[in-house]
Amino acid sequence: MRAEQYLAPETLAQLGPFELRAKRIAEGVMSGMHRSPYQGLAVEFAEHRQYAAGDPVRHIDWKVFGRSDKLYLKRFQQETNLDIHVLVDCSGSMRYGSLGTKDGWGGTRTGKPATWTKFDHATAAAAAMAFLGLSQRDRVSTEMFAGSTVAATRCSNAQGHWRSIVRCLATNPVDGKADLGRAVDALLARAPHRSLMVLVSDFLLPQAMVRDSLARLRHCGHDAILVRVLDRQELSFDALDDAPFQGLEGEPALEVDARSVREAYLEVLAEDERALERMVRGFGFDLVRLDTHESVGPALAALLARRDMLFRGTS
Amino acid sequence: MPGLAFGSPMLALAACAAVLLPILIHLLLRRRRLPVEWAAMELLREALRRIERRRRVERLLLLAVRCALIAAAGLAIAAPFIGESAEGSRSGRTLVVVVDDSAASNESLGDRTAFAASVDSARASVESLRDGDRVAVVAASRASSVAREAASLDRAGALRMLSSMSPTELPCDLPGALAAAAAIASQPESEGHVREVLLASAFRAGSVGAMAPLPTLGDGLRIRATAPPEAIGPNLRLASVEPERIAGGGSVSSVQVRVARDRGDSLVRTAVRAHGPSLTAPVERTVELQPGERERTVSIAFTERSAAQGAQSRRAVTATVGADAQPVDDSRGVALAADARIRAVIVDRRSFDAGSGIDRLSPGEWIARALAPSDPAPIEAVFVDPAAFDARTAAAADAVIVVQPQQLTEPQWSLLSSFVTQGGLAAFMPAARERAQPWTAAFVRTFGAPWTFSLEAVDSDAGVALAEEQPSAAMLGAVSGELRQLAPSVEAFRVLRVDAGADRGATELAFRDGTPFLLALRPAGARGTVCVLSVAMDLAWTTLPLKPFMVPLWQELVAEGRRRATAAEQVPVGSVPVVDRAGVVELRAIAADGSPLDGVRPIAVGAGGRAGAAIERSGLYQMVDSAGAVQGVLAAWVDPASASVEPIEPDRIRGWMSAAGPFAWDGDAGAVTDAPGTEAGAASVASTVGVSLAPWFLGAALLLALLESVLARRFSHAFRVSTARGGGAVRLATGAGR
Repeated sequence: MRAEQYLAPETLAQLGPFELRAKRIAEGVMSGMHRSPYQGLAVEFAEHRQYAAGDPVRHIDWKVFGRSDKLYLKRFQQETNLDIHVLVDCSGSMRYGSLGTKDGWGGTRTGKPATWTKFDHATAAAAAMAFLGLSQRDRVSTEMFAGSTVAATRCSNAQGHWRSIVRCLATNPVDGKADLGRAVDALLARAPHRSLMVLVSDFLLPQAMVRDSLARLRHCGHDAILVRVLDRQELSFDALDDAPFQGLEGEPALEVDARSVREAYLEVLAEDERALERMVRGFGFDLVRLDTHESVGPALAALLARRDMLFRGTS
Repeated sequence: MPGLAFGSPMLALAACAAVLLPILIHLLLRRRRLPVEWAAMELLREALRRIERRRRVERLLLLAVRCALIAAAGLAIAAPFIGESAEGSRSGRTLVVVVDDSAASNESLGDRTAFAASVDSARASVESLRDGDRVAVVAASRASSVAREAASLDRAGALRMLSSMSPTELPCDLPGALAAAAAIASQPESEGHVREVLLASAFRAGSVGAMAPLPTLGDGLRIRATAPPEAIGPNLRLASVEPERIAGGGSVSSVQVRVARDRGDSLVRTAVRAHGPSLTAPVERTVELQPGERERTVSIAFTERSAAQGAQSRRAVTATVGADAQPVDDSRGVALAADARIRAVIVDRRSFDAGSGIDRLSPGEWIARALAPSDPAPIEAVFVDPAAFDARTAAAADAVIVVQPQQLTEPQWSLLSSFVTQGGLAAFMPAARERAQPWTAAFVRTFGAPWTFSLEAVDSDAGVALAEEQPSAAMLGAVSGELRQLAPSVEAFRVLRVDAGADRGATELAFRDGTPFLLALRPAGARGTVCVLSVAMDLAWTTLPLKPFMVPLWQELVAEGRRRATAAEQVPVGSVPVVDRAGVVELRAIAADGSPLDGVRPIAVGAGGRAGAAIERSGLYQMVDSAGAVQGVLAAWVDPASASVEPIEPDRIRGWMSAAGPFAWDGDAGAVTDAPGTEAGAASVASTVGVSLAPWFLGAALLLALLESVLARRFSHAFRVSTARGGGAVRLATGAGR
């Protein structure tokens, strides 16, 4: 099942037992992982403890057994209540979309034409990440930001917190530019402990702003996953006519001959992505790019699998 | 240097203006596109910045190619060409067309006349003119009356003028026409134009004439002429038609017709036909010119109807030959003198001595008997006493014979002078009873005779006879054949010596010693004749009264005198005649048979007998007085030289014309002969046919269209395959130091 079926938080809100929905999201995520061992999002090794009868054998550290002939269990950070903070960009640029919604999208049949925007895709990815965190009993908070914090939830893993998260994700995008730095500052004020920051945005921001934000996160010892959501048209820049291009955040319009500028645009986009990638890598964070025309699940599952392999490799 | 010009300058301007169309379309279409919402504006802006310079160049290049395409296409339609010369380049042409409409242009060239061919050539040249060109038309036969005004822009008007022209019988005035054309082409309105004179003529001998010196044309003016056409057929012309006189004053009943060959050298036979209003029937004679023979004279006798006295003034004969290459010289008329009885007035005192013998007859009586030897006499002799001789007497006389000139008073001398001026014959002789002859001074003073008279008569005991060989006497032409037999028998014993001095032609009869016996003079401005005999008609002076020569001498003197005065005028076509017939107010054209000619406007005759306009048509004209009575007939004939259709070698014409300025035959491919004084080969090209550039512009337009399509396709980047599709790829970045 594709995670798009649960995409629009508005759609999710319309469903009855949304816990179920969240489970589905998680299951979808899990299916995308191809049944890989699920260790949770934050799978940081903490310590060994001696094996006792009745402990799950899947946590036995067999390398240690091989060296010492003694059975020890791995203890992970998840057991230490990791906070996961999900920041979703709801600025004007996130309102762009080129994919027309399908009938039955999100389980609804509104009968009205709609476009699947980057915000829709971002909230779907944020919902998935939040649900995964909650399912592993981590405390999760969500925050919608543009120029400032638009909506936010507390960090909790209590029963019913999922509803709050969904309600928060149901916020409509607002006009105006995104101020990531301000949002991160506000977030850091609410996150005293080491946390996992999931930043969901199109990151069509000044790279200096992104760099500063990531530097502050790193300075505070937080981990971060950057989920860059871009529309298919933004990635390919084709099938466009000569027309004035109007920005979604108040930028002045541009008269563009789409066909003639495409090559240069793709070149600029590639440079931007490489620069962002280098920046993220340089801070030791993760970056995943999502195409709004494709499923959220497989991309996130690949991300988690990759992180898991890296964790296992370094542990 | 040849310059670029356009067959249609307005189309060229329209083509340039049409270049604005793609620009306007581009501007208008840009505003109509709906804006597209876009999130990655910074990325797009950066991309635009990178390609903006290149795109600007592409847009400008494409716009330039499109503008050039439209301009080339439009200019091609505007028919550009290169070819006009010099100063004006294609700023305009001034063409003055000189059309030969003279007598020579009536030449037949088979299916049309030389005039029609000239008009066709002129019309073609006028039709080749374009907007802005000027044109004028000059008739070569009326060059003197052409207004020296600027050439007009009205081509249609010039074509109408050509269509309305018709050939005339007037002489051709090519030098005058060239001068008029040069004056027209030199007007300020033609400044900067290519100026050209087109001579449309067959250039026969009649048009070219004596090749009088041509006026030098101004700078920049060139002459182009139609090539002389090939001559078709021979041409005979009537060189002269003269009435034949019969001695004794009898009526003319024959004419001498001289037929001349104008062209051709083979045997030619034609019929000469004489007809006239007074003839009972036309008379025809065949004339044959042998090869090499240039002319032949034939005498045609005819019979006239007896008519009332008034009809005598309508006597005329028209001779006509068969149609040939030149019709205007195939007919020629001559008016015959009125054949009324001559009235001679003898100014002498009549003798009333009934028993006078011959030896007692006075000179006047001897003369009267000689003039009227029989009854009825052709000449009426009337005696008038010298004291009674007055104007009324003179007005009724055709001749006045003064026997006693010493008795004339000064007013009578004046009267006689007027009489002679108006056409009368006045004869003088010494007074028989006097030796001294003082009247000679008055004679010389009155008539301006350049003779010298002795004051007294001189006796000659042995007598002096008239010479056998007499001078070619004009007054006695009718009896010139009998003079050898008649004259020597006449002797004179007393003679008043007269020395004619330098006026050798005045002697009509002479003595054997060469001294004049009879002198004749036509005073200046007079229509009549004055005669002087050196002897009195008295037996004491001469034996003439008793000799057979007396009768024909006096009859012929009087008749010839009257004939000279009253014989019809013959004037060439194109001249302004002076009619010396008292009371004539109008010249009316009549047909050869005397019937009125409709459609020919009468010519008024003003004071002094001068016609108000030149005669432009050959034929007979009645001289009509204010009462409508016909006083005589005037014959107008085409000058044979003006009507000659003898071909002239083109090189001679070229040499003649080149003296006036640059000259070329029509169809010489624009070649212009060097004007005198210029270096050979330095003549500027004066091509009248430009080189069209339209195919070149059209080719350029097609190439530009191809280039535009290629560039538009290339600059649109539509053909480029997308090689960097950004959608769908998932890219992960892993943190370091995890």
